Amino acid sequence: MIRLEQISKTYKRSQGLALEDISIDIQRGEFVFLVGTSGSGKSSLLRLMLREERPDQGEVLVLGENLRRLPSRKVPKFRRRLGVVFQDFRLLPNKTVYQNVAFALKVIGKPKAFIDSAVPDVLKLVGLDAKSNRFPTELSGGEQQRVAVARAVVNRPEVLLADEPTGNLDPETSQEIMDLLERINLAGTTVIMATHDRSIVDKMGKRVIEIGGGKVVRDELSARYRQFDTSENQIITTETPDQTGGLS
Amino acid sequence: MNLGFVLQEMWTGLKSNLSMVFSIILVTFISMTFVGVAALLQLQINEMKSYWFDRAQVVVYLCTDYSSELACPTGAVTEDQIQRVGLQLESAALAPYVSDYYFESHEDAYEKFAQEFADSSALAFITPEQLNEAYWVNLVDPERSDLIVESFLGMPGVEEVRDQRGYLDQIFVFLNIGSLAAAAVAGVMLISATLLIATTIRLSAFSRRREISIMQLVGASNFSIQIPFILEGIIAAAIGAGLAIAGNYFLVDTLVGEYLAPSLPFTSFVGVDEALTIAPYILLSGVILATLASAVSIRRYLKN
Repeated sequence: MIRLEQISKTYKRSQGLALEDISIDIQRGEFVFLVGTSGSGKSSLLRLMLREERPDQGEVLVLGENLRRLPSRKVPKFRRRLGVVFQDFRLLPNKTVYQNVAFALKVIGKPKAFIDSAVPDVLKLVGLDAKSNRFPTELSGGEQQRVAVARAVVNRPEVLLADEPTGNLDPETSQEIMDLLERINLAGTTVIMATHDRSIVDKMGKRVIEIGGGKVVRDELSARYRQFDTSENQIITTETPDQTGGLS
Repeated sequence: MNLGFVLQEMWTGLKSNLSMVFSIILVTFISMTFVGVAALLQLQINEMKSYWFDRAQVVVYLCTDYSSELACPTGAVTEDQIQRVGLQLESAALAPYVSDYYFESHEDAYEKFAQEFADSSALAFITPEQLNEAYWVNLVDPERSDLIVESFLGMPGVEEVRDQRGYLDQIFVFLNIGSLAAAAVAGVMLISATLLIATTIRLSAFSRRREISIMQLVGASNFSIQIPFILEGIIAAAIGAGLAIAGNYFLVDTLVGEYLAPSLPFTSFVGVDEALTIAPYILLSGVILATLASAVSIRRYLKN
């Protein structure tokens, strides 16, 4: 489904390798957390999977496409098979909840009949069918993120990439979003989520890939946020939330 | 890609950028008006050329008793010399270029003079003998008048050979300068229009950067992302070109048709027909200009 083979990437502004010899294999239907400190390369990995960037070395294989060789004109078609959610929601303030979700379908030329049935369905899935005529500013942060999730999955993508989707939300609302992502995952969508939210990672008990210094330092199934972390009080995380490395 | 959606996006862009769109309309209007004026002046020149050149004649003036000694050292033209000029016009060398000709005697010349200057006091001092006898020659191809002029220059009994096109050439030089000036202004204005369209489209794209980034993420094709912006430029430029067409129409219909033409009755002028002939070209060039400027601009914006 998604395979990164010995990926390396450097950025002009930073010194040294941003990503170094990373190999990851993710199967269809998996739920994977990408964890690591700010600047560790989590967001870079998501950008590579979305073909917003290309690696200097190595291959990125997503949904059967070799993204390093995928020509630019084929990128739009490829992206229709993915959904993306961000920390800052990225909703259009001048469009209603319904219009925000419908926008994603309209711009890829979906017929009206499809939009008319798919949008109410997905709004029901995220529990916002009663607020479809509200504008984003009239919604809470959690509700806005649910709109963003609705927009990301309305076209039934095979993969959902989430970059710190709970980063701006309180724990209770975060949990609602995680419940939603888990439901989407159970319906068959592969979910890859970059996060700092320790409690969420620990509670979900899913596969955890930890990136540190541009390398994979840990890749464990049914894992916790920290290795050897048996009690929540044992190790205190000192990292700050990643505010800078979001997808553009 | 759904057409309604594209038009809606385009309309949103036009509304959010109203003052810039208005400036595109104005600049395109002015530049295209000048393009039109330059074209109309060229058409006017062609019109006058075909009108006057057909009528332009070469006149072979013959010596009189009053001619200067320099031009006519042997004095007034003799019967023999008159005949020789006539024979030369009939000769194998010149006949193919001469469509027809006629001889104007002193009396004919006086009659014509009397008609033209009926109200002038000069008439009282002129006698038929003072006016040149002449051959008036119509040419098959007025462009070849130099042949006739050269073959009669210096011929005994010939005082002067005058190509009437010489008068017209001065007018055409003047009109050509006007046409070039209009084209130069049009060129400068077109450059401004191009830059303005490019800037406006970039601003429009910037003000909708959220929409664009979402479109790119969900996999909208490049064409569907670009087309509302290109249409935005085209619509604004087409309105400007439309105003320019109206401006040119007004120019020939009112200024030329109602003021200039009645005051110069013996000249043919460009009219509404010519203004309508150039209209599609003005519209087309406005649209092409806007398409190129906005397409390049939006592509460059999306690449960054």
